[in-house]
Amino acid sequence: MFMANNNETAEISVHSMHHTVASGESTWIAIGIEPKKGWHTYWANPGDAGLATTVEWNLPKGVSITDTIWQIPEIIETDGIVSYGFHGKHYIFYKISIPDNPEIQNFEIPATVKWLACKEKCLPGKDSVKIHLFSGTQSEINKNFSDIFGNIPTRINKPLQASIEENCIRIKLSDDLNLSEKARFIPYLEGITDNSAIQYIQERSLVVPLDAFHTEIPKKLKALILDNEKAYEVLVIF
Amino acid sequence: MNSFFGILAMIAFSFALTNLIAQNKAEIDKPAPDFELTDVNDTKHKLSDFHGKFVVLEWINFDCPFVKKHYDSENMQKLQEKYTSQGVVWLAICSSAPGKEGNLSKDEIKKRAATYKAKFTAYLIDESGDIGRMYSAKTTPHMYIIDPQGKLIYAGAIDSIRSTDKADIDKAENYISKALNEALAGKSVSTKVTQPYGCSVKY
Repeated sequence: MFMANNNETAEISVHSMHHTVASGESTWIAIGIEPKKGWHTYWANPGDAGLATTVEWNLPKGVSITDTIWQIPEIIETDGIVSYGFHGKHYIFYKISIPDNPEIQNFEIPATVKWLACKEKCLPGKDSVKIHLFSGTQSEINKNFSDIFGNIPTRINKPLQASIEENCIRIKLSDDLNLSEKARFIPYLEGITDNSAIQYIQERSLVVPLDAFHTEIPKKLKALILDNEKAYEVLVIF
Repeated sequence: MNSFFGILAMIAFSFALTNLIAQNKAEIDKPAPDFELTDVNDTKHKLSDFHGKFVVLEWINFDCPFVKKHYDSENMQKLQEKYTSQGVVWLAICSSAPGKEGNLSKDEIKKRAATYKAKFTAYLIDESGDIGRMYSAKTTPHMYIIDPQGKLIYAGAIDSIRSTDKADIDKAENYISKALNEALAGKSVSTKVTQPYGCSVKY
């Protein structure tokens, strides 16, 4: 009835920034996803089609996930269908906090990773992982974690003001955000913008057409702006 | 000189025609654009043939795991049976281009439909993808509902849990039953647009 583990299309790994975390403190965990050659998996917003990779955590009491960071996705276009995802090995980072209780010495945190991998056809995937964390004097940062904790968009802290006009989102660009004509605005939430439509800059505003059948636009929208080699994570407020 | 103007006229005409086709895109709460497609039995069908009835459009690809989720579980067939028996016309449309996944021979389609005991009114072939693009069909499945006056009253996903897992069907809210039940009772559709989920349409 329930889907058995199926990891034919991608290899899953788990890494932690510290193996020992001080009570009440936090560290970062990375879930590594490596699609088999020729296959790709999806980003937070998969685009026109596909399914974002999900991680279901079975958190022990007092343990919480306080932040999630996705690496910068590729724009994958096939015959007019535009998706966002990854062909190569990539990571999703989770900030994990342990309770302020020195009596708990270690934590075992199981998680189920589910993904959709596509080549010309699509296959769902599922795998189980487990993270072990010790509680005590915070250890050094694991070297291999420093190596992987990258390819992340630059977070722009100041929210951007936007309005909706004639089936488009019009985003006012702040003075310090200098974008080229190639800039591409991609919400982390699917179903809002038209993934194939041309976006353009007009009078210091980025104009982004809405999807023909867009779903309700939230008051605050987290989005990625890709511009050549640069990538920004922004918060748009309507 | 004449041929030059002739060519110019042709270019202008085809540009205008492309614009016309591009502008003839489905929009929610607007008249659903008419189209004509041939089914697996070589019978032609026009959307306008069904004026006066509710019509469901179901974008399909028998090889897609999301379509299989709803057919292996008989979820789709049950919906088809329930609503066609209430006079709803159910059109499965395949926009898979030749050589791409889902573009099966007519015999193979009939075989799959028979094995699944599919209850759609017709399975229409849209190899060029023109109708898929007219409706901005992105995934399989991607569902649309048209009312008896020809207005598009629903566009989007079949249900609320975006997965390939059959176990999710009973836990999900089925948007098609909800919309049809409301519309058949003369009420307005409460959830008109949702984000579809599935494999990409193989244009």
